[in-house]
Amino acid sequence: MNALFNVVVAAFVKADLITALNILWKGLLAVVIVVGLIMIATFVMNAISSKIAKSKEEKAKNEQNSDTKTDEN
Amino acid sequence: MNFLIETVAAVTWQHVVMWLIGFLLIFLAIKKQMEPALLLPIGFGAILVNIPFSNVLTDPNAAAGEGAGIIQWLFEVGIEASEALPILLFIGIGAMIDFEPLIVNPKLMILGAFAQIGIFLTVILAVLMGFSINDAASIGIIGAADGPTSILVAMKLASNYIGPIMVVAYSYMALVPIIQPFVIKCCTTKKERLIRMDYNGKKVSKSVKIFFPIIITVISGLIAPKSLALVGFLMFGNLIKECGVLGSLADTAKTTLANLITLLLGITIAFKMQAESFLSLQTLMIMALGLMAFVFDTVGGIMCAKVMNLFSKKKINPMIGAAGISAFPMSARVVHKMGLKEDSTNYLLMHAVGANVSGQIASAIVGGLIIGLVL
Repeated sequence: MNALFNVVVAAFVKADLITALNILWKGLLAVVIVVGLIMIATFVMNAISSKIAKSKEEKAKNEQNSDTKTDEN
Repeated sequence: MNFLIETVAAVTWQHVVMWLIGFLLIFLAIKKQMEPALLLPIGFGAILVNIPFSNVLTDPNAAAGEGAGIIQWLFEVGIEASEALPILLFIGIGAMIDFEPLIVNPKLMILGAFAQIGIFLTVILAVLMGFSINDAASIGIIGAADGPTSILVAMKLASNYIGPIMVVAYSYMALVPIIQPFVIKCCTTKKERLIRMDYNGKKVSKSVKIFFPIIITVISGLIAPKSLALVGFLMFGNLIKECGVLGSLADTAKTTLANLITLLLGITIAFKMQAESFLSLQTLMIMALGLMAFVFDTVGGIMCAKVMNLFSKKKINPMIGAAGISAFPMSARVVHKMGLKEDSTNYLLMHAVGANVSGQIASAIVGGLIIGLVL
């Protein structure tokens, strides 16, 4: 009876341990994927934002240059 | 005269122990200034709920709908029904966070992710120590170093040890300045601690700051929908701060709302500190496992930084990895102080804050993942 009880307990513990190991690899994989996607999205946003900022700067420079030329004329 | 002594006669040694624990938490809050906003209400609440026949608890002999005790009512409405209190607190936390250091250097997000490894390792340890998977997962989430996340996960998983888990989570958050420096010194060499990191201080546009919380919410929700309550409300709080048109709401969220909920949360948590459920061998085991979670988190973040240095020209100071734990902003301050101690010209604060806020996001995501994977 005791041996049977021990086997049943061991089976439950083993089942929970397998669940815990599954949580480990699935959880880590999922968090790495989510974080990876957020990183990519952030890189893209930063790239777009700096491109827009550069083109605004160039536009402002060109407008300044054309204003200077008009003044000289 | 019996009515005067019946309560005193009902006091047991377990009640007295809980009063002493309450006094200890109050002492730590006031004298040592360890998370006073939480430990003081928890400590005082522990005393309130451990006085026999206390009417802060619902009278079990009263008819249904009558005799509701205020602390029990707050727990049933504010935490048990929908985990409203911890989730709403995340709005305030989101309104306090500045994601700029993270947006400037998105690589720091990896550190935040791997600094949550302690959660998963602690789940395994807890199972090996005989806890059921629901309890083990609830104990593991102490490693999230985030009170609301710990409360939410423990409630959703219907853990039998909500009281000890909450007290341990908040206590260890306050002990970060003691736990982390020791672990960091064990895992890093002096040469590594001296690695300089210059902050480029690039300005982040307002549009990026507005899109960032929205995109995080969508991505997290699509992959880990059970994390949306936490991540969503955290990002909502940040969005109302960054949008620039809701100044008064943002101020209210980060001051009045956060303070009000913190005030109620602390004393509400005390409902689970009744002697019968709190005083057990399992509470001591949870205290040990909670410490392991914090230690493994710190080690995970540091090791991740060291591995990143193998592939990166621009070296990362491994101490930054330790800041990936979600104890915001204490962990960032600890790392910054340690950096200054090694080299008084090496300012690691902005990098540490970046890793710290990424840990905040990652811990909320992991909380949702744990709920989804266990249920």
